[in-house]
Amino acid sequence: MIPREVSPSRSREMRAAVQAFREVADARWAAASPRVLRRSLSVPRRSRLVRAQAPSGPVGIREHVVSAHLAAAPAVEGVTVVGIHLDIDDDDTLTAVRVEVAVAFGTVVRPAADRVRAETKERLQRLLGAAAGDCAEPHVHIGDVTGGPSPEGTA
Amino acid sequence: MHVQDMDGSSPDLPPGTSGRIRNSRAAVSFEERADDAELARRAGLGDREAFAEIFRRHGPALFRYALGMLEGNAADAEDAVQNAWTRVWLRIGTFRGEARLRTWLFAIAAREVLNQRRRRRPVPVGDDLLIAVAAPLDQEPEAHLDHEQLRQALTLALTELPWRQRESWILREMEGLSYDDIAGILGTTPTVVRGQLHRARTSLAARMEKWR
Repeated sequence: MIPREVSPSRSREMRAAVQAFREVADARWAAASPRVLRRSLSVPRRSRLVRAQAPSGPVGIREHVVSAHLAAAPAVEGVTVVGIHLDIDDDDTLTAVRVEVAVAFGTVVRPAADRVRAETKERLQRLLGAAAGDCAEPHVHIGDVTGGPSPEGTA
Repeated sequence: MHVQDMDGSSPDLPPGTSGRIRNSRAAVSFEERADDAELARRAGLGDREAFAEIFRRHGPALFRYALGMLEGNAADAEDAVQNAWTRVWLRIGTFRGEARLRTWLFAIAAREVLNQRRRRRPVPVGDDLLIAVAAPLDQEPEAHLDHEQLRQALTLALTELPWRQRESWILREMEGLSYDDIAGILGTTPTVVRGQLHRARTSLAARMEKWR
């Protein structure tokens, strides 16, 4: 006999089976998820070293740490940081930074870019110390316009 | 921007991450309001709290998918999603938003689930397995609507489906993804997905017939 096709979404028994499956799966996930997240975040992202200068001597800082530090700069209203791009020399010297941002529609662009640049320079100085002097003036690249002013200003 | 579906479950987060999120009302509020694209952007820049929020939103669905694909083997499913989430953490900076984040995550999970299946020994489908599902019940179905039995029957029935049919069915019927999204994840067309779903539904309906 050819079975009649019943969409599982319309079958009471199948809905119950799916619900039971979800409940068991979700309970197992609740137990497993803390260790899955912990292990995932413990894997270091591969990136190059950037040379910094502490009072006691040279320090190496991974590229992704520098990027995260710059991306976490205080908010500039109407500006969202989309990406941070670093140029690093063969001797691990940071030579240039490009901050890619999106601006909210209506934001006055050039003053906003100046504030982003100033924040970036200040952060680089604090993070790299004297080694920040090897870096050229940060370049701000406005790559997108978003629909309206962001309530948070997430730059 | 669209608003992502929020998954009902909220698994505990590891110490350190969850504490930071939950101890800051402003952070909680922002994380919960942020859409997936915003969270992905921040996670790509190294924001672990944003990554944890993505994990909280989509982790349960990815695990259900892995569990369904790997014959209900929780250890295998955990290994697969572990590899998937590690890959997500390492590669989320490359997410450009051409697809929905959920679709991108499922595509990564699908590869890791397939890898996990290749790593382990094949599961034979023997007579016992078939009989366990197909044996007719001599009592009224109403008396047998035991959820655990139904779950086991569904797991076994899924195991019998060809891999692609199983994927299509789980992504559509359990996770509610669109044909387009499923096609994107599986690297095929919506028409093919439609055909796989039709065959999967027919097979599953036959396998679950005894429960009606």
